Formats: sequence, structure tokens, C-alpha cells
Amino acid sequence: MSAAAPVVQPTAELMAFAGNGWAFREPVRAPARELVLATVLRALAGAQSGAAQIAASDAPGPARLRARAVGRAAATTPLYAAFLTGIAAGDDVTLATPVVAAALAAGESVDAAGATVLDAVVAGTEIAVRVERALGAAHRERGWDTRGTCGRLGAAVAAARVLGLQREATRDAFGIAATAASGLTEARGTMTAAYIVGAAAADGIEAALLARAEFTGAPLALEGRRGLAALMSATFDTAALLEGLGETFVYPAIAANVPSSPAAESLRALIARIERLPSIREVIDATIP
Amino acid sequence: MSSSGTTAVAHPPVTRDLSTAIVAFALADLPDSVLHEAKRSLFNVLAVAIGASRHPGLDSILRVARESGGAAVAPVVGRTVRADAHFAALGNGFAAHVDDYDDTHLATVIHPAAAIAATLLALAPSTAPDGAAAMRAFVLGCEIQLRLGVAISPEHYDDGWHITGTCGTIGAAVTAAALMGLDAGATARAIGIAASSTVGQREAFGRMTKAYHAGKAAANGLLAATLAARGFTAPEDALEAPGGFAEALATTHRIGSLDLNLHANFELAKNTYKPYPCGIVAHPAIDAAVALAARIGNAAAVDAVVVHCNPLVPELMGNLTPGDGLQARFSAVHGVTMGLRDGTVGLAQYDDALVVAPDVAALRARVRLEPDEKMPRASARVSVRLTDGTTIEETTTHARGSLERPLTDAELNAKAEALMEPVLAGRTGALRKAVSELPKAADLAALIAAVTA
Repeated sequence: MSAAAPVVQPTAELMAFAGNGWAFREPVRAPARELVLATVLRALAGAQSGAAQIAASDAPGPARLRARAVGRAAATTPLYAAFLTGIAAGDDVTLATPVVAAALAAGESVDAAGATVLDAVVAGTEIAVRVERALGAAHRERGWDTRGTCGRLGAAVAAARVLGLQREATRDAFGIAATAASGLTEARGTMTAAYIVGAAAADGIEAALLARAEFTGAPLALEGRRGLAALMSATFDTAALLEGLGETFVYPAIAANVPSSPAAESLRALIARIERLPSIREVIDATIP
Repeated sequence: MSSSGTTAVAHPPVTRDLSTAIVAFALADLPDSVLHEAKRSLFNVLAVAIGASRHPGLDSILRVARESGGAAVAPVVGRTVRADAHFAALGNGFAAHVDDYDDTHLATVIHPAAAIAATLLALAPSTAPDGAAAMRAFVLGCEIQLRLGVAISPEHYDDGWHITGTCGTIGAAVTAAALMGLDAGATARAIGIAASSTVGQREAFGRMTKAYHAGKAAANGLLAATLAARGFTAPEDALEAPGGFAEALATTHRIGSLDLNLHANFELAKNTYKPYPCGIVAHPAIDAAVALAARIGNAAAVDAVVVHCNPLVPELMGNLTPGDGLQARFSAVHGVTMGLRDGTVGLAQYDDALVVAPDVAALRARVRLEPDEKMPRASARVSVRLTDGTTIEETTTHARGSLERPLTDAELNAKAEALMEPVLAGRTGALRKAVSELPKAADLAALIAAVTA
């Protein structure tokens, strides 16, 4: 009997990585800390932007699960908090932004520890970046905004981790988010570019909450014949997706690139020890004027 | 005119001109026959949604709505609970599509009404439209998504997109914009936001996500119009721009020649309604089986059945041994079996336990599909050999529910009754009346009372 080539099951392998609840160690966590800081500072800077103001005017009141957007005192639903944080962070952000926005809002809604949120950002961003690499330039050339596609997947993974979903439910969340992947780079220069970031973050949480409530999604959402990769890119490099997954971390740190201020410095100091915070609320508290 | 992702073609300002036409559209512009079809579409989709309102997927959505939704003001079909506009849109759209029993525009395979009716119910409390405004918004949302669908068909669906979710998102934004009374500029921006939040990959079929597409389309369209109403900026050429909706979502398209005349050529007039809750290619054979049932009496008298059918029937619905109701929806032999056995084929005939019942499985094993290249898709011939040796036969030329043989109003009413009565006993008449009188109604109170528990 000849040895068959191992069957590559991208979605299943990603979920095995995402849904196992490992705590990550240094130096793997270091870029995630930078991403949280960058997102919080950008969202704080943009909390009074026109797009954020408009979106905030329709924020629903809080439900049983409640969360606040960065820089806003009023509690709302975790979906809407993530939406507002994403919009406030603005257009000029990476696909890590919806992941962080989702992790923060989902985290506050269940009073998660800082380390839980940080590790959710690691897992979500690592998957988002690997999917982006696998889809390659052809994905962007077709007009897709990777914050709304790859970022949405990462947001779902991050929210699923924060909510403590098991592997099967995480896969459902991933499938739900995948089929809602959207966002056109054509929207650049309008508020809709920021909307794409916020909607990706909110949809990530929605997907995780639905999956927790036993809503089902496609098991081969990424690689299936009619799945995200086939529909949204001409290429799909499974090696770029899976090689070294869980061992070699490829997601990059992004500097916040906002002017220094006392508020920024105190947030930097707080987030530098995020993994020791008993509650992620402390981070959001520090952004409220 | 056609274009591809690699060729830059200057398009007329489709999104702007379409938005202008949307704002100018008056319900009086609609021919009576199309208004009648719009009412049939709305009646059908609400009855179907009520029939599916006990689905566990709707339970899931409402659970999330309870823990994470805003103020619960909007109606949910078949239920006493309400939900916020977002989750009402999600839940109602899901219920309307999950049984695959809603309407079908055959040329595009769009199920137009699910997302649009869901948008209407979700926004009813906040926009408080009178009946005419509601009907106008419903017609616009259905019609615009169908015309968009025509412009990107068949490439878009063939590429693997679930056109009900993608075009549905734009349609829902149009309905929401109409209910909110947005001007042409804001309507164009609502479409622009919606174009960056389309939903639906066909990989999601076979899971709850297929029907999630219709619900999420409604929720995203609603959000797009809400933001646009407050001045949120968006591309105002999102449909036709390079890298816009048509180019991103179809390998080739004809968006530049989108029909903008909202006085004629209504695609909604070609909407159809399924008489049976299963794949449409099996419907001609099921028609014949239902007709034969009256002549057979007891199904125990059936010895062998041959279904002469188009080759697409075994190809798309070739499952001979379905293990549950969902699989049975893609089993032509199951549909024929139930038609012969019960003389009617509705949701009850796709009950999980019934599908695997020994007597049903035994009868199903006696049914054979005989593909015939010369048999048209809309036709079928079913031959039944009885235990006494005689053979009886029935031929369907045009299936019930096809464009050539639309469901009559009486048949549609019977379908609605079968769906609604087990859930909301005695309400079918109230719903029929509320939809029929909608254009003259002062508000949606009667309609909402008819669809909620």
C-alpha cells in the first residue's frame, strides 16, 4: 500500500490553531500588544470624526451583553461597540484593526481578562494575515478590501476565542463570517472605507455569538469549491496559509503613528502590561474622557 | 455593452440615474397586473416565513438578539417576542428563506422577497409607513435587485455567488431608503455602502448560512440606508465604477445597460412561487404523481414507478436514499413517492422522521428515474404499474408554479393555509386581506397583527 499524500484541510487546520485556547508566550504576544495600542490610539483620535459621530447617533442601548466603544462613555451592544471602534479608527488602518476592535468589545461584554483579549488578537490577526497572504495580490486586484474580507475572518476568530467557543463552534463562526466577507477598495476616500472596518469587527462578534447559539456555517468556508478563496481571488496558496502555523508567527506589529500625548503615554503604559490586567475594562476605562 | 475586470469602460452614471428613477417612482406607475404580482409575492413570502418560524436557526438568532440586541420593537414572524431592527431583519429574512419554499425569479434564481419583506418588517416601527409607501418600498427593493441580477447573470451565480444575498443587500438598501424617504443622493450613497457589505457564497449552502444570506442582506441594507440618511459618505457610482459592485462580483456583466425605466418591463412580474418545498426541477414529476394519487387510492397498490424526466432531475436531485428532510429536498424520488402516497406535497412530507419511515423508504425504492434528453425541463411523465398488473400514466407539460402555468390565487392561498394554520391558526384569511388591501391601508397594523403570534 502506497502512502497517500496528506489531505490539506485549510479551514480545519486554521480552526485547530484558533480554537484550542492555548495561551501564547513571548515574543509572540509582543506585536499584538502594539496592535492593541495602535487601534486604541487611532480610535481615540477618531472618536469625534464625522463618520464616528454619525454612526454613534444610532447606537442601541445596552443589552444583557454590554460594551463601550473606545473613547465613548455610553454602553451599547458589543456588536455596535466594535462597529464604532472600527469606524473611529478610520480608513488608514490594517486588517488587524477589525480584529482588535472585535476582541475589545467581545472582551468587555464578558469581562474577559487582558491576557484573553491579547491572545485573541494574536490568533485572529495571525489567521487574517495568513489568509491575506494565501489569497495574494489577485484578491486586492479584484477590488476587495482585505479589512473587510481577511479582517472579518480574524475578527470572528478573535471573538470566538474571547467567548470561549470550542473548535466546532469556532469553525461555524468562521463560516458565518466568511460568507459575509465584503468591502470594496473603491470606497476609499469616503466614510464607507471606515464602515468596512467597523462592519468587519461587528460581524466577527455576531458570527461568534450566533455560533455559540448553535447557528451553523460551512465547514470548508475558505477552500470549498464555492468558498471565499475560489470566489474572491484567482490564487490560493495553501503553503503561505498553513506553513509553520502555530510555530512561526507571521503577523506584523504596526506602530500607532499618532502624536505623543499624556493620554497616549498612559495608555501605552497600561497596554504594556495588558496580559496582567484582570479585566479588559480597565483599558476601555482609560479611553473615556 | 459588456466589460470585464481588466478592460476600463466608461459607463453611464448608472447608480445616480437609478437613484433618481427610484425616488421618482410612484406606485401608480405600476401596472395593475404587476401590483397583483407584488401582492402575491408578499403574501407568499410572509406565509412561508410563518411556516418556518419554529426553525432552530431562528431560535439561535433570537437568543443572540435577547443577549445582544437593542430595544426590541420590531415584529418577528410567527412569534410573540420582538427584536431590534437589526435582529428582526436577520431573523425574518432567515425564516423567509430557510425552507427554500419562497419565491423564485427563474431567469436569475434570485429569491427576491425574503430580504425585502424582512427589511419592511424591521423598519415598520421606526418609519411608520402607510400601506402605499410600504408596498412601494417592497416593489422597489424587489425590482431593483432583480434588474441588477439580470445585469450580472448568469456569470455571477455560475461563479459561485448566492445572488439572493448579494443583490438582496442592494435591494434591501433601496427598500430601506424608500421607507426613510431618502433623496436621490442619499439613495445612491445607501447603495454605495450596501455595495461594500454584500453577503453570500454558495459554499454556505446546506448550512443555516444559506438563509442567513437573506437575513443579513436585509440587516446590511437597513444599516446602509440608516447611515446614508445621516450624511455618511459613500461612492455614488458603486454599481458601475471600476472595482465596483458589478466588476467585483461578476467576471463579465452588462451593468452599463441596466434598464432604468421604472414604468415598464417589470422583472417582478416574472416572479414564481414553488408549490412544493424542494428543488424545482423535480416539480413536473411531482405534479404528475399528485395527479396519479387520486387514481391509485392506496399506495400499497403501487408495484413499480418510472419517472421519465429531463437529465437535470437525477443530476440535481438524484439522492435515492435521503436520511433527513433536508436531504429529501434534493431527492426527486422522495417527492414523487410522497405525491403518490399522500396526494399532496408540503412541509409535512419532508418531516425528518417521515423521510426515514420504513413504509416510505420501501415505496421510494420502487421509484426509478429514467432520464430522457428529449424531455423538456418543465415536463415529465410518470408511469405506475399497479399490483393488479395494470399501468397508469400521467404527463405534465408545464409544471405548476412555472411561468407558463403560474400558481393560481387559489393554489397560492392553499399553500399559505398549509404553512400558516399549524403555526397561527385562523390567520391565513387575515394575512390575505391585509396584503390585498395594503395599498389603501393607513398603517401596517393589520399586516403585522396577521404575521405575529
